[in-house]
Amino acid sequence: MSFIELKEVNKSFNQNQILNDISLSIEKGDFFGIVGPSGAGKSVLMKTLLGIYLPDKGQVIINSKNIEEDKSLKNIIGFVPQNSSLYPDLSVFSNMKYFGKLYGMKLKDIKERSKILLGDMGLSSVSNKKLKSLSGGMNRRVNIACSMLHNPAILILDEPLSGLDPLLRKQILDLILRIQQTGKTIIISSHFMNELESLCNKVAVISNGEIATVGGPKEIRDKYSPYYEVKIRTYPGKYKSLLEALKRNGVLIQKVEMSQRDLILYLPKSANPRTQLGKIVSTSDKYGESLLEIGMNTLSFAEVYREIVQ
Amino acid sequence: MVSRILSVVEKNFRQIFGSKSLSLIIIVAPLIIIILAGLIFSSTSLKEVKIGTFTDDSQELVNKISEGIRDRGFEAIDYPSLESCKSDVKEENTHLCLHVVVEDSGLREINEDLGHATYFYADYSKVRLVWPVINVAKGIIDNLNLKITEQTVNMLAENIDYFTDELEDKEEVIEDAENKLEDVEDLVDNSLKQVEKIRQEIHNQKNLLYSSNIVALGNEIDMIKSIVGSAGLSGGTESQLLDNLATVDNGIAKLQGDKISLIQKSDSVDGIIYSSTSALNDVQDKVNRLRIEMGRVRTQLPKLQKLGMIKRIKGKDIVDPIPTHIHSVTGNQEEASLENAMSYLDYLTPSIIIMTILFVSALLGTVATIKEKKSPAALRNYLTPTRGITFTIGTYLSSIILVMVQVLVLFLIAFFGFASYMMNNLLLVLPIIFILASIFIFLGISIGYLFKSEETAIIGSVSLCIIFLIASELILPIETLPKMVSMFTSFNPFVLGETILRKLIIFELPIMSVIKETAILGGYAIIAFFLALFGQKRLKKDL
Repeated sequence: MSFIELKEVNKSFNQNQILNDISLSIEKGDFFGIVGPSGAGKSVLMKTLLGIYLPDKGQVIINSKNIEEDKSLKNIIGFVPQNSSLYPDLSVFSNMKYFGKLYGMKLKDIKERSKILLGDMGLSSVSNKKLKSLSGGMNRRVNIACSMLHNPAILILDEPLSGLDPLLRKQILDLILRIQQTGKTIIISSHFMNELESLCNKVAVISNGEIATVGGPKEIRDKYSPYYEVKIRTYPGKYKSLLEALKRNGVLIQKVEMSQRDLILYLPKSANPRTQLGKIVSTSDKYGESLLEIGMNTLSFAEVYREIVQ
Repeated sequence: MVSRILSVVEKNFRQIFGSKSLSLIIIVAPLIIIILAGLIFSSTSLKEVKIGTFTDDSQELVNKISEGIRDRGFEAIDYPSLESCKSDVKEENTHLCLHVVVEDSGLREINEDLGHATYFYADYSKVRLVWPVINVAKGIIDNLNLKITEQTVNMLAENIDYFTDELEDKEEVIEDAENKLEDVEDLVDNSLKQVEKIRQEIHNQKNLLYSSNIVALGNEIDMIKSIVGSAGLSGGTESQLLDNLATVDNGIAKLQGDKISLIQKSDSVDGIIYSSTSALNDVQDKVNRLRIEMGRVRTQLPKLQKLGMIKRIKGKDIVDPIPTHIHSVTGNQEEASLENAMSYLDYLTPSIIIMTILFVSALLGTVATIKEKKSPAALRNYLTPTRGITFTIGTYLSSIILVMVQVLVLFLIAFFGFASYMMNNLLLVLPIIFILASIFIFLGISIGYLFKSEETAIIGSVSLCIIFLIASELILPIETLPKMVSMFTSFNPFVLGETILRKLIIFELPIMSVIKETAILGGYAIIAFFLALFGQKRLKKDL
């Protein structure tokens, strides 16, 4: 059995089906991403994982225990909400002390753990400052530190990168990565697909309350990106006649996008890319189109995601 | 769990004292209410009361009334017109307008201050103030009335006293006059008898006169004359005889005339005697009546002398022969006189305490809960392995500590403000206040959990307080409500609290006298606690 398992979880509010037969398996140490458009059911899924919402049907099993029955599971879960979830009028340490107590920790342990976490996150100097006096970035880090205080095995992060500038986003990402490297199971929801692709070993795409797909980012991209994208720019750029010539010369064109400057060709993954590129170059020369630019790509994860949810 | 509850309490206090806005809402605002309530207890007399006066033609009396108003420590303002006087009451510049008019029925001849009427113009919309102010003004007028009446009665008593003294002196004179009248009466009676006797003699003489036959003598003379004529006497003798007979005849004729004259005169004397007798009878009758009247006056004198005793009676005793003494049923037997007429405010003490606790506790419970609920940390609290009851108890404990500290402040202010009676049964009163505050805090917490926004929650909490307040004796007597409603309102915790505190603070009764009410309040506290827990369970939906 997986470390975290959702079995045919259904949840509805006021007869609105928000989660529909969601089944997921997350292994210990996974860096699991949850993506989906707004209103797809990500937040409800996360709150169900946290035990805030109980499924109408189905089960949430963590560490072989049903979350409905075993409240001790709260001790192994840490949650980092999108916005700060601490008391702004209390100091950083007072917040940590308070939540540490609620987790049943001894004051000595709280002090030790806080010192380590705040040191790791570069927050030692602000330990006695009120939260409301800290910057947005510091607030995010304190939020994460507080969620890590009780040393949870699972850390669930809800949009931890939203609203951050690129530099801060990088800092937070590095921090999350460091946490994951300590063997924690990370579940993260984000709209930053590229970052998710680089971090997560597994991603679930949710659409309309259902799991549209789940798997490794590469696996998903391969599954949902069946084309190579070849972008060419020629002179004088008579793309209609060039397109006809390319087809006649055996270029396996599946789909075409044409603009005033560029011609984008989508070639099947089954085709040999080197052979196909050779044919494109030779045909262009033959028909008097000087090749100014040529590039070959597969779809990005973000594009694949768009493909999936659309 | 205890450690966690203490953590919640510690966190709440850190938050409250660390945030200016929170401390303003949770500590300063209730403290202001408490201090105001404490100041009410520290002095239950009216202050800064202004009474307007107006009169057309009784300025002297109005001056006396104004003096009385100022003597009570209030402000008296003289107005040039009734309209301006009334207008200032409407505009709340004064509390009462007092109009003095002359309604003379001739009494002013006795005392200048008599023959007046006073009209009060009051703003009845100021329910709590109007009656005390009217009482005070009426008390001042009553005092003045008493003085005027005393003066008048004293004047009457002095006059009566003088006349009774005079009557005492004249009693012997009357008795003497009465005796003399009796003598006169006897004298008249004797005179009447004498006159009657004379009248009888005259009557007899008159009868004798009537019986004398002088005319027959004349006839006899005529017969003698004829005999003489026929006898043939000498002419000389005959003529001598005839001449002599003629002289006798003339004498008889004169005698006849005298007899008639005498009879006429005796008739006249008889008439005079008769009228004299009538006059004497009349005199006798009048003297008799006068004597009887004087006798009656003399016998009435002791009664009149009783009036003399009035000089030993004070005017106040006549004006107020059956004085009313009003004592409270409390241990304090001090009489509720005009001077301490406002002390009834003391009896509002339980209501004011409960009202203060009601508002402070319910609002504190609501604000603390809604602040916690709306706090960004609410979600994180829920995610910790801490039971919901921990947070509810933590919020309750934080609130009850604050309320009890504020209550102690209230009692301290009242104590140092010389309302020492507030300390009566303090050791019993404090646990009751604790139970009451717990009920209202738990209800406030329930409302905090029930409503979604801070504004609606506070409105909800205030509305609940107002419902408790309206369904209490503070605004309307329960007795005025329909029987069913009044039965329900008698179970209002506000009313129960009032009853308990009244018995403990004012009547100083033992705990056993309030055991039933206390048990009901305890029940309410438990119900309110479960309501708060129920509300806490709903919190998950709002996360």
